[in-house]
Amino acid sequence: METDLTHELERLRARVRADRRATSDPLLVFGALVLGFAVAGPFLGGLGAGGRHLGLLVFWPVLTFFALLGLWLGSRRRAARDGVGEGSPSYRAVTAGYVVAQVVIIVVLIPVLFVGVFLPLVWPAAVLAAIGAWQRNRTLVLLGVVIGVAGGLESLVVLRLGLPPEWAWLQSVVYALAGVALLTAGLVTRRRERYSP
Amino acid sequence: MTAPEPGSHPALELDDAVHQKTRLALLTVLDEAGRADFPYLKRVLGLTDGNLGRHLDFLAQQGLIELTKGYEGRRPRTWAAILPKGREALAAEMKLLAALLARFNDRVPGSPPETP
Repeated sequence: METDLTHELERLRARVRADRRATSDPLLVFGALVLGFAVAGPFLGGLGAGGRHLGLLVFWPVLTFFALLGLWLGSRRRAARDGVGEGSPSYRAVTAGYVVAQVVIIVVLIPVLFVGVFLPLVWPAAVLAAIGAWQRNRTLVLLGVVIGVAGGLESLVVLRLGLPPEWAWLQSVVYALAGVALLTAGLVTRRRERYSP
Repeated sequence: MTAPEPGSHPALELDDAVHQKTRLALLTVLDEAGRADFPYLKRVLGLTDGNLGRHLDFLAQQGLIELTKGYEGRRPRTWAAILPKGREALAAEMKLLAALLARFNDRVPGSPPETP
């Protein structure tokens, strides 16, 4: 019967997605990056720097590129080892798309780079959501939107109200919590993927 | 096969090349993975070498997938990759299955709702 068949096909698709580690890999990589930002952020100038520090300006654009490159190499390695392909579109296409988008941003949309300075969680969240949308992965889209909206609102509130310098560390704690949340989601998903039927 | 009349029952529009259960499963796996090697497909679908090879050859003859045979070191390795025509055929099949399900659910009160 068709109901059973469509169920079975959905289960099969989920199994392949689990074998590709399609959800856990990006969550773990971007979770580690967000945690890294929480640690490195204060040394790069933090929000108070107003984007004057080059390190803060290039942190997300550059590290996102290396994250995507890492995901691409990882998926290639898995394909060679396990025989399951890189997915469609592959991280190769995603990385190429990201590079093209960065060129466009640098040439005509420079203010977009300041998203990584003033709304730092929005950048990785937007990339996660974009990967999810492109690869038809609802979990990534959902987590990207949640982290992006929550992180964006938090940064806007801090920008609007101002944070006394002695409380600046609080911002790093929020980023660290977001990073840990992504890492935890990644680890839980990885466990599920390993035991996928 | 002659083309079905417009507005005819969706079942008449099913493509035999794709609708066969094993081939539908193969196309689903390849649509998700992009490509996969022979042992992976065998393991995931629980097929024998002969059965899998026959269905892969059939899909390749229909222009739905591409088979690439090569070597990794001394080990021969066969990869199957889905082609755009294969994706289109799979999408059309899933659309027809959804239409069939909707028809079934409309006619049978209390039948399970359509799966997302």
